[in-house]
Amino acid sequence: MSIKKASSVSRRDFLKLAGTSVGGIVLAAAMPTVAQDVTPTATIPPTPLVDLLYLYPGTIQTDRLLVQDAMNEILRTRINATIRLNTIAYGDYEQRINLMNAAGEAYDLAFTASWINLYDINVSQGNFLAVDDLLQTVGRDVYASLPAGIWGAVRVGGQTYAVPNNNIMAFPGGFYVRKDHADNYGLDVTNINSYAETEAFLAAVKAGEGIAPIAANTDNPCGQLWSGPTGSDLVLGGPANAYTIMVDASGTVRSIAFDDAVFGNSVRLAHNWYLAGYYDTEIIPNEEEKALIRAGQKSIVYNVTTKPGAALEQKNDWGFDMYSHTIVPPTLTTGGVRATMTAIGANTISAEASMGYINEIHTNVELYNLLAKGIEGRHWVWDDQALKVIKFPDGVTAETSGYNPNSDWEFGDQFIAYYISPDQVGAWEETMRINSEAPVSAILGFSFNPEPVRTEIAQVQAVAGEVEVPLQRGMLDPETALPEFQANLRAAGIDTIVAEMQRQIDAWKQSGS
Amino acid sequence: MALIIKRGNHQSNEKLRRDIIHLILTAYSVICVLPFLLVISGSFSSEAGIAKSGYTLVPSEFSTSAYSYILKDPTQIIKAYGVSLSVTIVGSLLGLLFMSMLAFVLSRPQFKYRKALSFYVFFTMFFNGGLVPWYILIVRYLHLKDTFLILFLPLLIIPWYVLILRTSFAQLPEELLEAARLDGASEWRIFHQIVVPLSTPVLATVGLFCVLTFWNDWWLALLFINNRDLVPLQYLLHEITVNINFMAANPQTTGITMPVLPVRMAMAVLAIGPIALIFPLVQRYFVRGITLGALK
Repeated sequence: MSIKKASSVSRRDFLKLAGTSVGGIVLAAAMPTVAQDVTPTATIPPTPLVDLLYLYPGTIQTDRLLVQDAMNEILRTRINATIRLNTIAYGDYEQRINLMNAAGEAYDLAFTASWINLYDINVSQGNFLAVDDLLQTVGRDVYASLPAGIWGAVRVGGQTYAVPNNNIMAFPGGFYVRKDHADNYGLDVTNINSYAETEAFLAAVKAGEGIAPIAANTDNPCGQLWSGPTGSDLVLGGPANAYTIMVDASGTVRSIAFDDAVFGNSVRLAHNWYLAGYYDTEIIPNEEEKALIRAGQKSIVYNVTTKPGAALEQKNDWGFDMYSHTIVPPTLTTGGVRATMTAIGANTISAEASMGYINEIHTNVELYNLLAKGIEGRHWVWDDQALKVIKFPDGVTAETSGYNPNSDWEFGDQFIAYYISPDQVGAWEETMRINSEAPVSAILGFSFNPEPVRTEIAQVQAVAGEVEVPLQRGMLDPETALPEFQANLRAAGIDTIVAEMQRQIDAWKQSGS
Repeated sequence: MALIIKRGNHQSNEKLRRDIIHLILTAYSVICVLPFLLVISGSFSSEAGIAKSGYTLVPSEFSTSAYSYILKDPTQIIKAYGVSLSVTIVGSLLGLLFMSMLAFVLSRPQFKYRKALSFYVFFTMFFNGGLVPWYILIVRYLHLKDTFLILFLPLLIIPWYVLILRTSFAQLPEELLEAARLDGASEWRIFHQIVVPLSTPVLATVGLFCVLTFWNDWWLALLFINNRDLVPLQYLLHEITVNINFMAANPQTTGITMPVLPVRMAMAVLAIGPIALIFPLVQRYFVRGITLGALK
């Protein structure tokens, strides 16, 4: 960086000067080399330099302090702030943050989502700062960079408490299949319009390879074959849960378990496939399933997110070349938008500097890629600079790299990330297109308050927990098991939950109009 | 004659019986060792090998990938070993000192506030203020977050161990202590010259408990440690576990193909290593201490 080069004055003295005097103008005058870096939109708040604490889940990277220093070189000149990266292990993240919130410990920026460090709950507890005003001033670039339609999904009570990271928000569904198997056993994925149409392929793989071809994964722990009807929003539960309560495109609430055309058909198909030996005969824990997949014992997984570039990601995961094919068109839902966001802590030392950071990480290509990919030359080198493709330096692999968080999606605007493979080129434009073209859920921005029906939810989850895995992967005969399951759900109070959700949605619509 | 023959019979019967018992116990011991061998063998297997043929006594496909994954950043592991070792040594010595002093006081019938103090100590076995107030106290008032102290301070007095020590001290003959007192020994002198030397079994037992407690603790680090230089081994391994579980579950974050199953085994090997070495050293006292507490 230019500061490093220019400083015969020590960096600290220089910063003291820049901090205590009047910011931009003095800075530019004293440091002509710096001035070139400062584009007209950069806002340098006239405050002393602040140090921001940023909490996010991840794996702790060996070289994180080098990356942090490099980021701070940029941030000092751009927003007169520095950042402290505090990576917390995924499994510990929520607990750490909960305690910090409870104790009133200050942090400036934190990762929040609909699945970890829950956004709703944080907002209701007052842990996050409302950022609507800041988005019009310091954060105007990031505000403009995100699709206008998504902000409704983040607002709670008319106010915005987090900035979504820009990446895939509307998730298309489909299946991944091993390329070699598909090619050898005559599966032309482009001709497939429903999961049932892959039956001939399953039979061929079963006969040719002697394996049970259907895999489960986390998106699809049960090997389930259904997905919500087009335009629907799965509000309570998820694609793996047999009781899932959804809101369809017309705004009507119902449970998937009673939808015979979707759920009933899927469990009947699964049962036939189970009898034919396409599923494992026993339920295998996730990580052992993974090991089987990597050992070449699996061929296809249904009902997964077929976002652009998924085949490439899955290649890493499976160890084989993959096809990814979309069956279910995407819908823009609240959960999708809230899947990855950055919030400003209520006790932040500087709301402006924090928003300044969010603004920079979404718009400054160099800064974002430092955080997401590491330092050029040390953690990556150009593969093709014109196409923005990078690769590991010679002698470095994903396993040995000192900085490879591999979680672009949690840091800012993924669409300014460098591609990590030539095959990935164009994936960001494609994803942006999906985000902007996807139909919007009828209840974008609604979040369900489960409190009034907590007992019923627990009962329903218990009832479903007993059978949802064997039922959805065909181990039970749907002729008897499905009606029994539906009767148990009714007895557990599913209708009460549906009615309560409908009531909340109606009230939410009323208040909105 | 008859008597001698009979005795001979008796002896060979005895011998046979002993042999049978030895045989049974040997078989049992082998069964006890098997899981450890499986863990060690699993840690040296490739993931595909485990997926295909399960855990075997001899790795079906030999691989050191699990160890190279965990040890890819050896400085962090070495540092963590250092932290764990110092916490264990300092914590166990101080803990044993404070707990035995406390237990001695509580075991003396002459001590006027014995009941009140006992209540104060043992009440905490059943009730506590809850996680959040405790966290707030330590972070906001004692300012112990990210310090070496916090890794052992909360575990220095463990009421259950105090109870064991007190029971043991209370069984020392009162006359002995009375005699010392008449000879003009102070309470302090009685404690360290009479009570402590007579109580080595229970002290060794509680000492071992302490070592295990401090060595195995990762909870305090989870709550209070951000500084990577203060991360103990168990927390580091805990972090690796939760992260590989998460990453195995989320394809978005992968891109690193991790040998998940062998890594777990390798971590178990790394975590139990030093403790497995300490255990035989104090085991003698350990057994005596347990029976001492239980029988009398």
